[in-house]
Order: sequence, then structure tokens, then C-alpha cells
Amino acid sequence: MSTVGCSNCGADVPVAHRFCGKCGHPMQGAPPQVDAVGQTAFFGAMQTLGKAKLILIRGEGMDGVSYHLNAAEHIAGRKAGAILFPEDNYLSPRHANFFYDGGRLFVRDEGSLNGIFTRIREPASLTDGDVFLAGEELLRVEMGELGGQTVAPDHTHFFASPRPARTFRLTQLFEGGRSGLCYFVRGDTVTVGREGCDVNFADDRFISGRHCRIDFTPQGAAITDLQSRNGTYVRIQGQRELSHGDYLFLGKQLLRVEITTN
Amino acid sequence: MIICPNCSRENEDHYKFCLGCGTELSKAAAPSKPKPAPVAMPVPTVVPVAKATPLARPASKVPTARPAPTPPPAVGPAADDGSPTLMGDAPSFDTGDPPVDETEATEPPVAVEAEAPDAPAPEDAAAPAASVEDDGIAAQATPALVSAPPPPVSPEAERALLAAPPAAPRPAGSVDLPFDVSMDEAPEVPPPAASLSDEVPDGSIRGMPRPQAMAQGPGGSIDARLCGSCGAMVPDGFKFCGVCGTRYEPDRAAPEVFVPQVQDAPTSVARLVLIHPDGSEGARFPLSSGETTVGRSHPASLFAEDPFLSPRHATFYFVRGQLFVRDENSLNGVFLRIKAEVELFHWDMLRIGQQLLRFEEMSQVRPVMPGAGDGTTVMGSPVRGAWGRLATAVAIDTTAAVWVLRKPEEFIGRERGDILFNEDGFVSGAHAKVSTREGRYFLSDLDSTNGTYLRIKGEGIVARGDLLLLGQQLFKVEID
Repeated sequence: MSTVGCSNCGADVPVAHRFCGKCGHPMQGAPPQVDAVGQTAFFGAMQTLGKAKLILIRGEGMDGVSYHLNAAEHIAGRKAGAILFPEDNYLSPRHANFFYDGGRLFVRDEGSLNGIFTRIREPASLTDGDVFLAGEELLRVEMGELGGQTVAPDHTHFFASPRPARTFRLTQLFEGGRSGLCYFVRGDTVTVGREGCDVNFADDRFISGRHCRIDFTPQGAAITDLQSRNGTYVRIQGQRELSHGDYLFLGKQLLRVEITTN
Repeated sequence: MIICPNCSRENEDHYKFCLGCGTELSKAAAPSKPKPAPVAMPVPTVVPVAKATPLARPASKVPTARPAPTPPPAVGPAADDGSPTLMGDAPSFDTGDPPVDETEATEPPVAVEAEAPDAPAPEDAAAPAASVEDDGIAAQATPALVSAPPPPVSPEAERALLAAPPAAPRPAGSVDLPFDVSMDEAPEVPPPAASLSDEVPDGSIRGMPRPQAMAQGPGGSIDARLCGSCGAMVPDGFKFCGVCGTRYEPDRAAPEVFVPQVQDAPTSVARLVLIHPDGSEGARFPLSSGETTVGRSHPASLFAEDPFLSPRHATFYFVRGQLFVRDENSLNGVFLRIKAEVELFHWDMLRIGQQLLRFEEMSQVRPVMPGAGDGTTVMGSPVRGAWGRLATAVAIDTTAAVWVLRKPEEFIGRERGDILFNEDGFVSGAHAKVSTREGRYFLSDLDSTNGTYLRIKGEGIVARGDLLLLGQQLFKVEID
């Protein structure tokens, strides 16, 4: 748990805080201040009260908790920041930063190990090395040449399997860092789902029958969600603007963005 | 013998070009033996051969001329005997190239005329092979040539056929007979004389891809390799294929030891039988009681033109009567066709159809995504009981498609199963199975047509009837 509700106004207050940031009510039983890594710029940064908030959708027992983004920036992570998920080992100590710029809300990857994934609402372009989530599957899109040495120094040729006609491929990344399956796309399109697709994950309870599709072109690739139940998430590069209704994954935490004022 | 005016190498009488330097040889020199065989087909069955006799030649040749339909070049084993014999129509130079012209010119004079008369007789045209006894002579004719005649052929006839492959007017579709040159078989070779007979010089020959001719090494040594272009036997040390003129690298080390030594016969109790792509058997290579190393350039290799063989690829040897094969750290390894279920270990290599697959035990697969060292766990798909991976190797240390093995049994096939190779015609509909139980892993073949091969690690026992893949060569092991 990283927050508790204020007994006076109900606002979510980080567990380490001694006063409610919204109404100033003293927090009961607040634990001694933990010297979190990094700065906690929550107090005194309430000028844009209630402008946007993040609602935790899937959070290991914390569903429904919301985080008001009232400051200029808000760090999320496992050890530092206002948005803390100390028990989620998939989050880097300092993982993401939600900040306002010109009145618009952005999220920036703070160099995290696992990144920030946002649910796509429309076809999104992908470049070599981009990764996305479909159900519980983490897949990487690769388009580069395979390369590889086929002749040994003594001029012996390596007897190998025929090379795939196309280099477009999807590589599954397992938790822990190993790679799983690698599927070479035969045409220009590949579909991913639980069954009946080019790439199927029959044991994944969170993936839809037909979940998403990736279309390859010489210039790159584009991924389209096929109205899946749980959506398709693409890892963002750097920072990205957030809109009302956006969903994003930070580690195992699924958050919905609500922008209450403009 | 024809002594090359340029390099002084001795060449077979019927050669039109020097095997050592490629210089055109004057026919004058040529003694006897022209191209033999093509001529009269000994076997009656033979197709519509053209008229018999002299004319026949032409006719027969023509057929032969057929473009290279024939597939597998027969492999000639070595023959040996001191005399340079060739088996079958060795010298076909007519391969379409440059040589052709000359050929014509040459040939006519030589063989043809002189012998023409005999034409008919010669079935044996074949080689005059000096080697009579069972040496490992192989005569190899082109496989195609050899097609089997339907009717029972007398032994002689057979020989003849072998010898005179070209002639075969094998109707299309006929299958080539495999013939091996093994010592065992090598019966007496028909007298050379015969061969002389019908040589018709007509131009028809050109362009025909001649199958291999067997050449014998000078000195009777059998060392030779197969021409990578036409499949003919090229004695070691020769720089050009006598049949098609393909040039070889000059620096071939002289063979030291040769495997298929005929003389060795007494001590050899096992042999490798080459299996052609069409399933027929080809040359046989005796394995001596000592060690026999095979490879691309090691001691007298017959497979100098198989780029998939390492210079020293594998060594066969006996220990208390048991035959073993040792992989000499070759690049492509020695693969043994599995018979019963075998246990799989991390990094085992499999060959199924045209595929080279690597089995990996999941717990030993190394991460490709490094952690951050700050206690953060690398996120990803749940492993969900996956116990292994099967990866297709497309280059040294480069893999392409990878399958995750998760169910207790995972099936590999072209049409059915969990791991499909739809485009590989050499993979059976349901080909093999990989499975796990009690923390161990296994591989079994599902009665596939072409079999499932597992790379031998280090060394392994080889049993009678085993099939081995070395480079592009498939061998059957025969043990007395």
C-alpha cells in the first residue's frame, strides 16, 4: 500500500505523510517518515488541485485507489516518489514521471527497466525493437536482418535451416529476461491471439481470441488492436502525452488516466 | 596413357584434356579406349536404342545427352589397381563447354574409328578396368545411365551397364541404378577392348552432362574426390575435373592415408555406403580396422567438393570389435538417425528434413534482457511451465524461428503437430516428437520417411545399418 484515505476528506494520502495533502487533516498512525530515495515533491505543490488523477485498475489488492496529480510532476516507482508501489518488483525504484507541460499531462519514462506501456486506441506505428503487451504476453517486433556467420574460418560452410523469406518477426520475452518463441511473419501481416491466429497463446487467460494485428511495410510496422477485451499496450519511448481515458501499465500496475479539468 | 606435353602428367587415353593442367591432349597419343560404353547397350531392354552397331553409338549418346536430368552423380568409389582404369565412360568431356569442340575432333579419330567395328560386342565397353579383382573398384557410371533394365540382366550385362552408362537410353523416368563400387562387388571388369567399339564421335555428345567418370588415381591409388560440378571422380592431385573441366584449388594436400584402400580389404570389416538423394546406394568406403578419417581435405578425401564437410570431419575406429565415430570438432557434425527414443540434452542439435534444430532446456537458456541490478525483475510473458525451446539454426550461432515447448509432448511435422514446417517437403506429415517426463527430455521419430537425426556429441557407437549424415553426405553403415 502506498496510500491511505484521509479520515476527514477521503483523499488518498501517501502512507508516509503526516498530514492530508488536500485538507491538512493530521493522519492517524502515520509511520515515521521514510527517507525515500529521491525527492518527494508532493507537499506544497497543490496549485492545480484535481486537474488529473490516475485510478488504479489492477493493483494487487489496491484496486480503486486513485492518485491525484496536483503537483507539477509526480514520480512513480518502487522506492521513490509520490506514487509508490513498493511491492511491485517490476517497477524500477524511480520508474516514471507524470508531469504537466503547458497544461497538458505527460508521462515520461525515467529510464526504467521495464518501461511504460500505453493502450493503443488506434493503429500505432512500431519500429524495430519495439515491444508490446497483448494479454500477458510481452512481444518484441524485430525487422532487422538476421545476419549470422555461415562460413567457418576453414572455409567449411555451415549446414543450416533455410532462412525465412522475410525478416519480420515477433519474439516473445519471458519474465526474467529469456526469450521465448520467435515467429517469422510469412506475408506482411501477423495476427496474435489465443486461437486461430498466426501466433497463438492458448494458455493466456487475458488474451482475446483475435487480439491484435501487426502490418509490416518496408518503412516499418503498425499495430492494430482487434477490439480485444483487455487491449494492446505499446511501450512508449521517452515521453508521451496522456489523454482522458488512457490506460497504462507500470510494472503490474494498470492505471487509468482521468483528466477532470482542462 | 597420354603424357601431357605441358605438365607431363599421365592421363587416361581417352582424356581429351589433361587432368593436371587442362591442356588439350592430342589424340594421337591416345591409345585405346575411347569412350566406351555408351555404345551398345548391352541390355536389350534398353530403350529404343537406335540402330545397333556403330550407329548405335550416336543414338545412344544422344539420349545420354539429355540434359542433366540425372540427379545424383554416382559416386565412384575408388578403384584401384595399378592401372589407371576408368570405369565406365569416364572421359566424357563433352560437357557442354569448351571442351566440346575439341572433343569431337578428338574423339572421332581416336576411339571411334578404330574401334567402330567392334561396336556390337562391347558391352563391356566399360572399363577395361584394370582392376579386376575386387578392389574397390568402382565403376561408376552415371547413375542415370545405369538405370536398371527391367529384364534380368546377366551379371555381365550389368557390368556392362555400369561400364557403359552413357548409352543408356533410359526412358525418362527410369530410375538410376545405384551401383556401388564396393569392393565386394567389383567383379571383374570387362576388358577394355570392348569399350573401344562404338565410339561415335558425333557431336551429339556435347552438352550432355556426363555423370561421373571414375578415374583412378595414378599410381593406382584410389584417392580421389568427387567433382562438385559433375560428380565425377577426380583423382587427388588433379587440378581439373577430367569430365567437365572444373578447376580445383591447387593446394590440395596429398592424401596421406586413404580410406578406401582396396588392399585393405582383408582388414576392413565395415564400410560406409553412400546413399543417393533418390535413396539408391552408391559408392562404398571400406573402414579399416585402424582409424579412418573422412573430411574435406584430410587424408584423401573423396568429398573435397562438399563444402559442408570440415577438412577433418570425423574418424571411424574400432574398439574391441565395436565401431565408433568421433566428431573431429567439425563445424556441421556427425548426425545419427535415431531408431528408438533418445534422451535430449541442452543444446542438442537435430536434423529433420532440411531443418537444423537446436534443443534448449528452458532452465539453461540465458537471458537476453539484462536486469538493472537494482532489484527490479525483468517483466515478460509468464513462463507457464515451458520446459524447453526448439530453435532453427540458420547460421553459426544465429537462430530464426523458435518454438516454446510447454506440453508434455510436442509434435513436429509438416502438416500435423505443434511445430510445423509446412514448406519443407522433406519433413513428414507427422515427423517426430519431443517430450519431457521426470525432469528429463526425449526425442523420438514417428516413422518419418526421412528420419530424425541427432548430432553425436564427441563420439558415439555406430551399429550395423545406422545412417549417418556428414555434411551433405548420407551413409549407411555396413558391418560384417
